[in-house]
Amino acid sequence: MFSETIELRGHIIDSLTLTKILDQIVTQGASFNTVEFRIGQKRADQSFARIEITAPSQESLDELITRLREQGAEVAPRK
Amino acid sequence: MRELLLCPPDYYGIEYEINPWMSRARGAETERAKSQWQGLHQTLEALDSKIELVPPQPKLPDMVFTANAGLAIGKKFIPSNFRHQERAGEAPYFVRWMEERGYEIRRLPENLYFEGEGDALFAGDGLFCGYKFRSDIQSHRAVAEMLGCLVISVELVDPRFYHLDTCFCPLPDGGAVWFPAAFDEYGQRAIRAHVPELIDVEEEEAKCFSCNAVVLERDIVLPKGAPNLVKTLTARGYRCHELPMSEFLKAGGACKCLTMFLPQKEKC
Repeated sequence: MFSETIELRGHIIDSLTLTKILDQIVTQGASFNTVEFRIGQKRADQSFARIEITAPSQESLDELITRLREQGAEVAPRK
Repeated sequence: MRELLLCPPDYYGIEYEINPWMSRARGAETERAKSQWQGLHQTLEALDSKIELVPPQPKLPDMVFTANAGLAIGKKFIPSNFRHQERAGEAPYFVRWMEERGYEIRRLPENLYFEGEGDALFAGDGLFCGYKFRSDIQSHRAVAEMLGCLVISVELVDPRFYHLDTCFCPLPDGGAVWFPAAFDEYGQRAIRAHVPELIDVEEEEAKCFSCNAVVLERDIVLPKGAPNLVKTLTARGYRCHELPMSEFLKAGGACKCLTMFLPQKEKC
């Protein structure tokens, strides 16, 4: 299995960006694990999510990451 | 009294093709375009608006579409980072003009595309921002940080409706006019969740850019070609002013694209 961690920032709940990203991960045959999730407290506060994605092949993972980048996801720096 | 920024169409024409409406083989008729623009100017002025004019520049034919210059909130101005090189030359002229009028210029990082009021409209409780064809979703986060407001990003999926203001028009009562099929499923859901009263526009009328309207309280200035929408709006107590916009539709623009609010909102 092949993994990558992405980060999402912004008004990802009101915009349904988080929902869209999670749906895309599952639809593409990958799975996810929410590593960190901080919800903005006030209306204008932004939220943050760090999500580990696991896919059956490097190719499908790369393709998925490309799609998720178009939705604002960033690949988390490797520690 | 609302202040609006327009740009005379002295150098307007179809000189390149950067959206599905544009075809160099189907050029705009210069005199008719000037007459249609004058009609818009006069209509807006008669509706108690103060019209400001930015001087047009040669070789920048789309400068006439001032809504794409940037986003003005209070005395802050976020200039556009145009996706297409053909339009990038407009930015310094708009920035200088806004600077000279005391606006604080807040620039986005150069690598983030953002096309101003064309893709950023206040409605309900947030600033709706369109992305994919012109603006990047990453620019929305930066705009939210600069302004300290809720930004709701919505994905545009039909290249004919490449800017948010071609398919979404907020109304002062908290509702909006929109063409739902221009948005992906999530964008539609986000809009429905935040905008209480939506008026759907049918495709034939959306293609006439009927969502590309300038709303001044109870007056709505929109292109001709949307009798059903006009009927609906009139029934809701709006006064509709229908204008011929054929020469600007050839470039994928109409009343709203030709107009930028100074500012769109005083504060978030």
